[in-house]
Amino acid sequence: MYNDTVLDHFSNPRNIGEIADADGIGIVGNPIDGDRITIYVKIKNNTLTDVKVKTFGCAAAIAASSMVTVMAMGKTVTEALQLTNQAVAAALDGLPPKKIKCSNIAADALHNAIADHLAKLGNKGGSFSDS
Amino acid sequence: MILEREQINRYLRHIIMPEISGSGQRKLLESTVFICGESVQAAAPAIYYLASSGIGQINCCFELPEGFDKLAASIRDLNSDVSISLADGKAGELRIFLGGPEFICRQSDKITTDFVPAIIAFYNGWQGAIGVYQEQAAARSLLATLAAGQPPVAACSNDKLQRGIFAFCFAGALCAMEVVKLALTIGQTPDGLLTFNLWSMEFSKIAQQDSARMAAALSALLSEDFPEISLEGGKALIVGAGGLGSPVAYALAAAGIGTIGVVDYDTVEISNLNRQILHTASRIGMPKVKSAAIFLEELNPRLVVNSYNTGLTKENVYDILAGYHVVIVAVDNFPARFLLNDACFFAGKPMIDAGVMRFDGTAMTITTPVGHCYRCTLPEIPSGGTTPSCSETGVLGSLPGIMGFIQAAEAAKLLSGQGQLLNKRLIYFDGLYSSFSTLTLIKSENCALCGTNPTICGLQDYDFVCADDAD
Repeated sequence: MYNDTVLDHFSNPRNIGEIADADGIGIVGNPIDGDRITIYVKIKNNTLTDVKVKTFGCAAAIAASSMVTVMAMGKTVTEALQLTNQAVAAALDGLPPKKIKCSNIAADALHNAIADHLAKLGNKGGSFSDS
Repeated sequence: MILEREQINRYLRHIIMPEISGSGQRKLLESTVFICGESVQAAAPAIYYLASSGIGQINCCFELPEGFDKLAASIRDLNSDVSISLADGKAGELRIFLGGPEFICRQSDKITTDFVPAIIAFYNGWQGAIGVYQEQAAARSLLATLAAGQPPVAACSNDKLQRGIFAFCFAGALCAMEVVKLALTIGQTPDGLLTFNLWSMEFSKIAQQDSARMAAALSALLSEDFPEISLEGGKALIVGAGGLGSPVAYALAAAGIGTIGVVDYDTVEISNLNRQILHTASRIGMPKVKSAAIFLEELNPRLVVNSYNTGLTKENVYDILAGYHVVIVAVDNFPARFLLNDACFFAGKPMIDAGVMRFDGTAMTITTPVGHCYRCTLPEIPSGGTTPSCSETGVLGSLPGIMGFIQAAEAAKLLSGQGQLLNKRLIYFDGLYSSFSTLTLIKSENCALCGTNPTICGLQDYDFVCADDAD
């Protein structure tokens, strides 16, 4: 049921792991299906210099998490925030209709990680532009 | 791709777990394991689980090699990724020695010369132990202890083998799990001996320095110490011919049970084959009950297999249960468990439950009115979303083997009216850390089914919904 791109990212997910000194951490969970995605980002000069992910979930969720890290790496914060779940699914050459809703949530985790970073900056009195 | 498309489907339940993933599965496929067993029969359960897990090369050596060709053919049909052959001990990065204490002693030279790490599993009757030896000194000390405890007569008799069936099945599945952990360096192997007694259902971890006494005691047990049981007239119903149903049926058939009923509505799929050892690649698409019957009748030609190619419903459950002495719950969902719990309660049948997920498993036996029922521990079917769904979390292939062999031993004791049952206890197994815990279960006075003022007086509507049927 999955295409080769999905199977490739599922069976050999990219950028798996944690970043100990992450600038932002974003989590999304879909309790109905038990998926849980945690994304760690390193941000330097407004650019995502490292992205890592840890996922417990189905094949689609794992493939989407892997793909979103590949897509986000090296992007600016603004570009990364514009990445959508739909774009991730498209980069995977499509996901089965059933999985689009439940497991295609990796971009949300990325956005949460960036929001986490921005919130921390806000607390420190920093600003978006000098991050 | 890191694996072939077919391999991704075959090992889906492994790959989905971050501890293994596709790269770990690839490593398993590139691994070589040497297994040295007392007999083909005794080593077969370990070999089935090594093969289903996708260990690429299995080199075998047996003291009693009869039946190897048949086993090898069956293994090739289970998983064509696996190459199995008779070979000497030198080849193989990981080694398993599996047999009675006398047999292990006879392998002393093989174990200690040019030492490489070894998993040593030995058993006697219903008891046994497994240890992972990374150093030669520790292995030597175990061997010396076993040798010191030897009874005067030491021969591998068929009689003794027959009585060790549940122990070698269980030990074999444990060995297969330790192999995967060692190959992938995940979790923790037992630091000393992990001992088990399937007659009393007691498990313990014994530190290396204290293991001598235990090993000596186990070694000195005589076959007279084990009560004889006959399962010839026994009739067991196994609900589910999947991950748990496979080992239960395997062990009961091998132990000579008279009749097995198998209930399953499903057909064999390739993603079943990382753990469901009754099925094979050539039987993909066949109803699981038919595939199971083929395997079981081959294993024990005297066995009567009754197949029920249907789902269990409140309409058919009593008809199917009738005539069986014990019901084994080998299902993957709560509604079926609750249906069976209630139906067994009203029909007065004992039931043996187990559950598996990832690297963890549970098992318990329900013998109402003595002891608790399933609803005493979990009053209602958990609502959707509170528990992970069947196929999204993965399961290590040998795990259902371990838990299913516990269920089989429980069934044998129930059928023979002997031994200590898990009817007031729940066993929890943490496979990554090779640890068994026992929880005491208490019958709930307020239980809606078996309590003092029951409100459930007949079968209910059991909501059969699985959140994920997309895999």
